Amino acid sequence: MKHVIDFEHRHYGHCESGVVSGLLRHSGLDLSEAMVFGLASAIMFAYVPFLRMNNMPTISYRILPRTIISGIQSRLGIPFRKQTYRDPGRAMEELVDFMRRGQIVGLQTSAYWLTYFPPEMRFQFNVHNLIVFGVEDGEFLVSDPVFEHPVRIPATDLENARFARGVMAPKGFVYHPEGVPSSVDLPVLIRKAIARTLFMMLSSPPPFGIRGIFYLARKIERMERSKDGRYIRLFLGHMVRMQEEIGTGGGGFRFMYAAFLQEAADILNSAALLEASRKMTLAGDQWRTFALACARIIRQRDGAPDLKEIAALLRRCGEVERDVYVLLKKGI
Amino acid sequence: MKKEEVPQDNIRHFRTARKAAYVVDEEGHYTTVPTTGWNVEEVILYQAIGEFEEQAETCRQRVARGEDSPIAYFMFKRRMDPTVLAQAMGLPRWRVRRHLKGKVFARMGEGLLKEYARVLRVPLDALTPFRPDVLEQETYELPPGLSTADRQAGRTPGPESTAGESSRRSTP
Repeated sequence: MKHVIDFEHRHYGHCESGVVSGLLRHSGLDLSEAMVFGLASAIMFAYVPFLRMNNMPTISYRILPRTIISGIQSRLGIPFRKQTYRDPGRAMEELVDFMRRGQIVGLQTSAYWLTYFPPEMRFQFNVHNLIVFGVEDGEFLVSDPVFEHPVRIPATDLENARFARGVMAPKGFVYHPEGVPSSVDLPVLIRKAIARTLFMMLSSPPPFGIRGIFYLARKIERMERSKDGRYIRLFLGHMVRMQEEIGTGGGGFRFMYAAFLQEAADILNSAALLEASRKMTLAGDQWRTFALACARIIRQRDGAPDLKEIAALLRRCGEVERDVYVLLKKGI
Repeated sequence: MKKEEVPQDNIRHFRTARKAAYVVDEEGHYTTVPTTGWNVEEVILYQAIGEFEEQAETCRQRVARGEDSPIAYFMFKRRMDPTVLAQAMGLPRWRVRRHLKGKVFARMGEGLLKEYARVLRVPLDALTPFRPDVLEQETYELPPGLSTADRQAGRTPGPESTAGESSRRSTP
């Protein structure tokens, strides 16, 4: 059994936006990953203390999983076929059917069971996305956006990954666009997308958006009194992992969003957007500085960490980023 | 981040893999470049792994004394916590927490044990009697970073590999 679809693999910064960009490109609508990310208004900051995993609160630099897909769907008016399954056997049969019909598909999987991942990087993280573009000798050909080259995975491993259970279980989630418009009115859509991002970042109550960043900074400062050094180090490590490790293109998606703003500036021919892009790059750099400071504290292993410094750095991230949105608000 | 500032720290867990980073090139345009990782990522990843390993090791000793159940050990080894395990089992968390105690484990029925073995993907006979070494014999592991390109070239990335790019990288 061999069905391989002609698909050009590309290396992206993030899994979900990369998969959506790849699927659209294959259907004839060429949007960059950054453009997909921006159009879905995917940049965010959220600190949700009551949603805990491995004893750590949820910290996110983007909107909820799967919402990049639905965001593109509603903003561009592209219908996506989406499906989940109860029966793993049927899901795998239908995946082969897709390949037989020449339809590449996006899948939601758990990172833990993807055997082509380096073993150290396998965590119970149920919202990793990838594209399947072929099947050959009981193995599926996978274009994983965060990997440099296409990879292969045995069918049983892929089945495990698609039907891992737990938080945000994928349940075999499969999706692909059904027909794309021949042209899209990018200038209008970009304005809408940015307006939505501005609303979410500037007007959300804490712990979301810019206010969420300041709220978290205050929380971190107070940890000195209530938590021991070990917990603080784990917390900072967790935060930086969400920012750098979970495929963000660096700086917790801020660089990716800056790339979007730059593209948008070209399309709209707007100097304000270009300036916003430049400032967003600075915001990303600020987040990297924050990550570096956290890593330094983790490496010390013992002694009381200087949380004043960390909180100040985090506030600085919030300030630099707020300037970007304020600038955008005036410019758009 | 400018193109020339992108860290290329050859971090351990990336092996032959590289990640795409968004950077600004010489003319100020955004582009992506592959990176072999940033030291910061290595620090935080091994911190997270170390935490799980430490918990698993403490747990292994407690299992030997009959205080914890083998389920707890495999839970940490699978990088789960009681919440994740409970959701995977479809049970309330308080029940799963009980099952992590040695005394309760000793009285558990076979049906429940089978389900735990399935969810944790360990053989049933590794739970009773407790055989923590069973994970070392796992066979689903592919050689790290073995991508199609590597495979076509007949390369196996790793310390013994001699071919170009992959030999340059350090492997733990």
